[in-house]
Amino acid sequence: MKNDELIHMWQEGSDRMFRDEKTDRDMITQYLSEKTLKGNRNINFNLIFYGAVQVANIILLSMNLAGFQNNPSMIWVLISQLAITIGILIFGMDTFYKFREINNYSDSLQNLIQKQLWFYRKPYEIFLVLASVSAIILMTNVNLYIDNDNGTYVINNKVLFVGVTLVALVFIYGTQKATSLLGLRRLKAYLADLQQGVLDQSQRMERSKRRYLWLWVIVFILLTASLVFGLLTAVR
Amino acid sequence: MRKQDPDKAYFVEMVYTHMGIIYKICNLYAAVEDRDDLKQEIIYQLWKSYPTYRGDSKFQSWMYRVALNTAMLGLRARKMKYTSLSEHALEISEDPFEHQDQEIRIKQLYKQISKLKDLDKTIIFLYLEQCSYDEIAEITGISTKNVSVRLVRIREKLRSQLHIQTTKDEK
Repeated sequence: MKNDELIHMWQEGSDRMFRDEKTDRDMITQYLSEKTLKGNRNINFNLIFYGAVQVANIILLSMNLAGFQNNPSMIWVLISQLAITIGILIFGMDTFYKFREINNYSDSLQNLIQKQLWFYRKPYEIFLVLASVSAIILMTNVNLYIDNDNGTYVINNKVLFVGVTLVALVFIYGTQKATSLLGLRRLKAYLADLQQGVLDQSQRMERSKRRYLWLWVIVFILLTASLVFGLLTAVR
Repeated sequence: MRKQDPDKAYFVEMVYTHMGIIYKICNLYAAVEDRDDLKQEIIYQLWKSYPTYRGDSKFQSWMYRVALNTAMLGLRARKMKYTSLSEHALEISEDPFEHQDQEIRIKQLYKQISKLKDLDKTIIFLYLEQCSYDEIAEITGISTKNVSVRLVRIREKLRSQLHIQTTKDEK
């Protein structure tokens, strides 16, 4: 290994390239603080922001629970929303904790890639859906608080109410997804590329799995066709 | 004056001693304008991961692992923006009277390495830093056999691009 000319070239080049670099001990000490980092904290911000939304939801729901205390059906609706909100808050905190965990770089590259891909494909995707639900809960509770008519709330057109709520949910989720896609798509693609490079073995396994999947699809189509043919023959 | 934590003082000293590793990684993985940010990020991540350093591996090997992971994954995750070295010029001081041919070849070596895929870049970087195959396997998480197969291919590629003849003992 030591006779390799590439190594000699590399060492010589590095010696020349870094002879003017200056980083003293004080600068290193200064860099140990997170405050010195200029990096973007999109995901961190998202998680903290939605944590704040959950807290706002809990406060509003508590106020609405007091306002609708004589309306049993509303009490159940509000208690269900409160339970969902607390669930989302706990899930968000867990996601935030997992996000910190996946950024511990002392693990091997292979493990890190798997952890990161899992995070962006599973907990963060679920988090985006739950975040949209919490936005709808916030919107609904603001309406309930404003339109509270002595403990009653009247929905004039139930179909329209459900329709608008669903459209709002899809729209909020879509906006979230689009925003996260812009940044995360490239990262996911890069991680997937790296994973493919690291896990040649699993790539081969994936390929063979895909071959078997095709086999199953063909078997399924043949069985369905024979079933349809059998039914048609029986009807005739 | 506040007395410095002995652990922190030891850490700073070790990072200072091996600062060359950080410079090289920043140069290989980040664009000129991002190198300072990456340097800070690596030092911060090293400090953050320091409690997990158990001392069973060399400080240097652990430092390679954290610094490379930060360069490959951290920079992208935080900034979502990444510029390959091949997109910018390498800055090696030009001296028209001394080692001109060698300097051009060194520049070419860096340029060719920068064109490699990230994983291959990491493997050849660790090889050039004289890490053992086992160390490279441990840092990247791939098998020693895979490291050796990949290294043969990468070295062949670099040699042919740099027009270096393979000597018998290297084979």
